[in-house]
Amino acid sequence: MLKRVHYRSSYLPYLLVAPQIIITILFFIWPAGQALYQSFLLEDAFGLSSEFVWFDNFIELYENPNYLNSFARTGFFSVAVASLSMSFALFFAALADRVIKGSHTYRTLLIIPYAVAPVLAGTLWLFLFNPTLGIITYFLDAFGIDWNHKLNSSQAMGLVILAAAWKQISYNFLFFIAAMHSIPKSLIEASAIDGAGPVHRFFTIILPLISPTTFFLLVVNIIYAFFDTFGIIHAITAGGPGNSTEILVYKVYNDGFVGLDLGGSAAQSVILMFIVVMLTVVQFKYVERKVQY
Amino acid sequence: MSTIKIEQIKKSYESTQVIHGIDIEINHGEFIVLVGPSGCGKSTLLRMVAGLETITEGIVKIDDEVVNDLEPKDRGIAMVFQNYALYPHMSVYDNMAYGLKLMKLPKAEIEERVQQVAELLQIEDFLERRPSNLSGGQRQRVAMGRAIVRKPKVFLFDEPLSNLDAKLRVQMRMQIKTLQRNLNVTTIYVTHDQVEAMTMADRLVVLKDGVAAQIGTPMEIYDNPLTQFVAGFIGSPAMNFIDCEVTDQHILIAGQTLTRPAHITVRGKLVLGVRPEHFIESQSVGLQGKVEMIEKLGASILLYVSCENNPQPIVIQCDNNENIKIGDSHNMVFDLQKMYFFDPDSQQRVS
Repeated sequence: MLKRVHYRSSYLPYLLVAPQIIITILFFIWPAGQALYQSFLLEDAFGLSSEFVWFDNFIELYENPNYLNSFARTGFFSVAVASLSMSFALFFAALADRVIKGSHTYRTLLIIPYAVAPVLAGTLWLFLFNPTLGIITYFLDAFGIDWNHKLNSSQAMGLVILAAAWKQISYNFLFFIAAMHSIPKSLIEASAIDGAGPVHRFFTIILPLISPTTFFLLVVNIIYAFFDTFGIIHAITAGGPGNSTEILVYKVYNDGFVGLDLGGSAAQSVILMFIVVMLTVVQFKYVERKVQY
Repeated sequence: MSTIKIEQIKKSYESTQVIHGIDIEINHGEFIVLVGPSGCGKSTLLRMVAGLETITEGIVKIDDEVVNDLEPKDRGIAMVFQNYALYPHMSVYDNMAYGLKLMKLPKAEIEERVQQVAELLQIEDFLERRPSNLSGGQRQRVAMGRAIVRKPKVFLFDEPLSNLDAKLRVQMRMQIKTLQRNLNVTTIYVTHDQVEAMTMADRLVVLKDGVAAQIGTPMEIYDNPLTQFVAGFIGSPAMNFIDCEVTDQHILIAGQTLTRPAHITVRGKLVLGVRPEHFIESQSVGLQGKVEMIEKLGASILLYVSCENNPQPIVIQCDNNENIKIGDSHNMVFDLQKMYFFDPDSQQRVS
C-alpha cells in the first residue's frame, strides 16, 4: 500500500518525473508521431508540396515485391544472427564457467567486442574480408575459395551476418554467464554424484535452468538484428550487391534519404515500430510469467 | 559390507592448510557425525570423501579401495545437501529417477525402485509435483529419496536439517536415524548442532580448526572430554569453566577457599569445568554466589549465579523451585565425581 501523505504538494511528483517524460516526448513520442503522420502523406522530394493519401503508402508497400523480399531477407538475417551469436555465446559461457584460473582475463577479452562501435566492427570485418587486400580472403584463396562479397550476394549476406553476430556475442555471453552463475553449485554437484558427465549435465541441468535468459536473449537479439545492424551493413555492403543485404531498416534509410520517397519510407518505419511493439509485448508476457520450471 | 578408512587426510587451498591430517576408521553400518563450529573443516572433509573436493594429501578408502582419484559417481556414494539441491525443472519422480536413468537401468526397474522409496518416505502422493510446490520437510524427504533410491554404499549428509524449523528438525532427526538403521548403510553426517550430533551418532568426531579433537561415542565424549574445547562444545547447556588454583589443602575459586577433595590429585593454576547438571543439593559448604537470572525451562530451571572475581556467571541446572528468587545468595556444591580440570595453556584435560 502506497501512502499518499508522503507528498503534500500536488506539483512535486510531476516535477520529479518531468525530465523523464520530456525526454520520452522529445525523442520518442514526437518523432514517432511525425513518422506516423508522414506515412499518410505523399511528398515531393523537396518538401514543397504534400498530399494526404491515407493508406496508399502501405498498400504500395504491400504490392511491392522488393519490399516483401526485404522482409523475407530480414527474417532470415535476424534468425541467422540470433542463432549464430547465441550459440557461440552459450558455448563460450559454458567453457568460461569451468575455467578456474584467469577467469577474469577470459571474461574481459570476451566482452571487448561489445565496446566496439557498429561501424568500426563493420570496417574491421571489411578489412579482413576485403576481396583484394583482406587477410582472410588470402587464406581462403589457398583453399580454392574465391571470396568477393562485392559481387557474390550470398557471400555478402554471410559476411554481414558474421559481423553482426560477432558483435552481439559479448552481450549474450554476459547474460549467459550470469545465468549460469546463478545456478546453485550444489545442483551441479548433485548431478555429478548422480553420474552425469559435463556434457550431459549441460543439456539436462544447465540448459533448462537458464531457459528464461535464453528466451529473453532471443527477443533482444532479434530486435538487435532488426535495428542495430544498420551501421555494420552500411560499412560493409551498403545493402548491395544488388539489394541482397538490404534489410528493412536499411531500406528505410535507402528509400527515404537516398531515394527521397519520404512517405513510403515513413510507412516502412511505422511497420518496423509495430514489429518492435509486438516483440516487446511477447517478451513482457513471457518474462512476467517467468517460464515455469 | 562397506567400510570407510580416512588416513592422514590433508587439505590446502593454495598456501592455507585447512585440514591437518585426520584419521577416521568407519565400520559397516555405522552412523558417524562430524561436528564442530563453522570453519572447522567438517564440510570440506565430507566433500573430500564425496569427491567434490580434491584431496591434497592422505588416502580415502571405501571398502578397502582407494578412491582418491575416482569421480564422485564411481565412489558408490549418495549425498544430501543442505539446500537439498533438487532439480527445480523436474518433477519429484524425475528427480529421483535421474541417477537411475544414468545407470541405464531398465524403465520398469526404475519405476519400481522409485515407487518403493516413495512409499518408504511417504512422498508417493506428490511424485508428479515440482519441488517448488513442496514444503521444506517434503523437499527434505525427496532429497533423501534421491539418495536412497540409488542404493549407495555410503550416505553423506551435509547439514541436511539446518533449513527446517525446530519441531520438524527433531522429527526428521529421528526419521533419518531410524531409516539409516533399517537400511544399514554406512553414513557420514555433518552438523554444527551438538544436540543433533549427540542424538544421532553412533560415534562422534569433534573437529576443531581442521583437527579431530576427539573421536568416540556420544557418551564417551560427554563423560570423558579430552580438551576444554570438546568439553565446552558437547553438552547443552554448555559446561562452566572457572579459573582455580589447587593446592595441597585447598581449591581457590573466585577468591573463595574450599577444601580439596581427597581424590583430586592435580595441582597448580587450572581451569575447572563443571556441567550445569552436575551440581548437587547439599547442606555442605560450597561456592557462594548471587542469583543473577533465572531461566525457566518447564521441568527444570537454569540459574545464572555470579561470584565476585569470576567474569562469567555460573550456570546451574536444577529442579523447578519456586523459592529461588533473583538476588538470593546461592550455595553451589559440586558433584565431586564430575569435576574436570584443564590446563589453561594447552587446554588439555589433566587428571
